[in-house]
Amino acid sequence: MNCELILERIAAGERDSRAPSADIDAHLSVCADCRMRAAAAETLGRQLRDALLWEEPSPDLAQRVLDGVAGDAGSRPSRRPWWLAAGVAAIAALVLGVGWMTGRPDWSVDLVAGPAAPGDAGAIVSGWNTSEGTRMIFDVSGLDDAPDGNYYEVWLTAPDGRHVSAGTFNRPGRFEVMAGVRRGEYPRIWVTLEPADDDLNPYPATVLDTSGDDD
Amino acid sequence: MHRFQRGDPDAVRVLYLRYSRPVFAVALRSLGDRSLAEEVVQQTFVNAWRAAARFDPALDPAPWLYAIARRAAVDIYRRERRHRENRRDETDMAILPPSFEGLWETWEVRSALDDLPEDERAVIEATFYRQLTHREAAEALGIPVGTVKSRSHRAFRRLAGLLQHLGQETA
Repeated sequence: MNCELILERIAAGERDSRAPSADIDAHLSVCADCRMRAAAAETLGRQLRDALLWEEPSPDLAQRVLDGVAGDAGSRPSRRPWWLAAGVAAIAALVLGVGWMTGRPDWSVDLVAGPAAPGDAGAIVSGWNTSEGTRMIFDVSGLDDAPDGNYYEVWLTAPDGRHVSAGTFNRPGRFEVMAGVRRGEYPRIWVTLEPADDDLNPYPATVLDTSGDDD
Repeated sequence: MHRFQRGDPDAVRVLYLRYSRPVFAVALRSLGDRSLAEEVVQQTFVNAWRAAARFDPALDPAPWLYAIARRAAVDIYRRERRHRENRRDETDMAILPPSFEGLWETWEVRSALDDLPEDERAVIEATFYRQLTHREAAEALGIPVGTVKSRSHRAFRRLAGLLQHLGQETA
């Protein structure tokens, strides 16, 4: 039987219908590949049947956006060139002694701006659960470079308040860090702006924090 | 993206054409209101424009724009809720409603739809969203039933290939 056709029928919701087709379940019982892909097909079908997904923005919205950008053009800040931040992030990864992860992450989570960050700051964290702990790739945007004498520090915190540091960085960008604990036991991921001192605890200046929903 | 990163206002139009629908879909799903969702779209592109100098144009802009869009939606959600409740206590607003969950999935599916050829997207819309049979879709689109079936299979293969990670368990 054609696997793509089976997955299409699963996406169309045949398994949820009042009279589910027995041939779909029969095929799944013998096809490991389709069993692996069935959940994705069901999710895809559910999304495609959702009216929200098909809504279009108003035709005049493009002009309103362009007008908004034009009105803002004079206030666009000048920043360090992107390649400088990218270079620093790449060097940071090398210093940490870890290579870029490849393959699909086990989870991803959004970090949103905390009280000590610009409103457009944010990060997407992609994570891998490993036998050594938790590897994470951060894509940080919207943060300013850490002021002289300060640095950003990544923390993982358990529900009972225990926390561990997963690494530090100075500029937004893409970089990788490693924590020697399991994400499941330390679900909160957050970032503080730290003064360079001897205090090993998080400084109360949260710049990024877990938004509460994993994808 | 190089032009956008350098501050070329014309590049905003290109970015808007490519990403306005995923931004709008994420905003509409999280806020459930077209007017507020369009406000999120405006805010997203203006904020992206302001922050463009810090963006590496060699990277995929989608995760970056998604983060900005989600942040804008969170800000507008909190503003509206404050406005409705007429108070400034944000302690009970730290937890976002379920509509904010799974937004990246919405972004990915909408983006994948936009990548389909127009004729294939029309068939997917007819058969999945409008839930027409192949025969009904053929009548509605004015094409043979066989064409509906072949376009539907082709489009679904593309979507399933791009989105085969959907629905996988996360931590």
